Amino acid sequence: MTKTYQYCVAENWGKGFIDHGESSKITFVGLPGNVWQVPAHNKNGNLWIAKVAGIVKTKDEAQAIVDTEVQAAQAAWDALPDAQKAPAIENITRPTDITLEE
Amino acid sequence: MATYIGTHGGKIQNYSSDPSNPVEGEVWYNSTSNVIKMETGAITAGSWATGGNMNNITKFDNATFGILTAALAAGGGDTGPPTGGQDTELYNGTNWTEVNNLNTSRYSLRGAGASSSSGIAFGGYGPAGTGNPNLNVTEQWNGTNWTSVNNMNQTAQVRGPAGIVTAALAIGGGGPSGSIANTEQWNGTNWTEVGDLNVVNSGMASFGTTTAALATSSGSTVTGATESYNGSNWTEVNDLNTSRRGVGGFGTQTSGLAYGGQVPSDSPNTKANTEQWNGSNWTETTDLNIAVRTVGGASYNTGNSSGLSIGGINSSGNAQGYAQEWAGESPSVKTISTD
Repeated sequence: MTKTYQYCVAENWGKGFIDHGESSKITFVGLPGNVWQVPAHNKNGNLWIAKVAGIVKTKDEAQAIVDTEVQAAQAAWDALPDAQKAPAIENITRPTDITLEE
Repeated sequence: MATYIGTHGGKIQNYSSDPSNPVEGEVWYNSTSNVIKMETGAITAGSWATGGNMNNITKFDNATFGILTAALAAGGGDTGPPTGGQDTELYNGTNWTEVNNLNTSRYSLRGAGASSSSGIAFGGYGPAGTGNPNLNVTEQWNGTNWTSVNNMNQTAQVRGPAGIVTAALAIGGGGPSGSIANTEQWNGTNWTEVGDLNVVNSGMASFGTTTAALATSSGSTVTGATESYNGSNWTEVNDLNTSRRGVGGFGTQTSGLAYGGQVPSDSPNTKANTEQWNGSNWTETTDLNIAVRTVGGASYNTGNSSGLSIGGINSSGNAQGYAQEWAGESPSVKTISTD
């Protein structure tokens, strides 16, 4: 199967991590665990990964990192007393699973 | 030899920098970069870039106001369970700097101001366990310190903000008995009740002025409902294309942006959708790089041409201190090769 996306791990250092020129050329998806999805077989995606010194991961490796992060957040949520699971802010909810695409 | 003036009837204009609003087909010479350029008539879509990361402030449901290069975030919460904060940080377009704290610790407060040098923060929710729930407190920022000023008439959190330090709105909100339709106007000294929303609501993305404001979505209900305010009355206008809750927003009544949000039934449930408002309709545009909900914003009076998304909750449910900078759509200019 031809890959549509590639994944890397890189820490968002703030200003300049993704600039407008890069963002206008490719679509970035920031995921839990500092995982980033960018287009595969794409010069601009490759250049950005090199710029941020991203550590390239297979989809399965990236999925494992995301799962670890989400499952930790889910466990923290589940451990809360029920009263604290219904806070005044209604969109604080149990984190949901995230499935990465090939 | 054919000349440009001979075939097109005019000379090529010489500029030291590109013209700000070229018309389709216009050709000019940029004497700084020594190239010929042409406005193609196409539009380059807006884009999000990463901004500076916030420091120690609690990172969602803050009071936020200002513009892309001079913004403020104050108070706010951390998830699981939310706790109220007092920290204040200023953004200069590159970095966040910690400054003097709010007097009253809280989250779910909102703010209005034209820049990081003046504004107000109003309402909110006291920290869990303090017996200090919905708040009507208002504090005024003078660029250095927060000062307590006159309270709102309603005790409420997540009230939609609009305006500046001398003329602001607090729209709807979450009161002790649930969402309210009440709107209050701040004149720099006091809050006065003005026209109610058509539909009770809280946690809306809102922006504009006391005479021309827009409020959309909701903090609790998945909706794209949008209302427009003319200084006296609210009118229902066209909905967002993608209904969601916890949307961020900035802009003016005729040029706005709504971004992020949550659809609880989806997986992942936190969204990166961005829609721009032209005074009549919402149009989908470039997604955020990082999906986020319950997120702040800053772009007073710059419409959807530039602005800042501040903090919020990410797709793993954690409060995160990322800022994302918006640059709106622009004319597409091509450099004409002379090789």
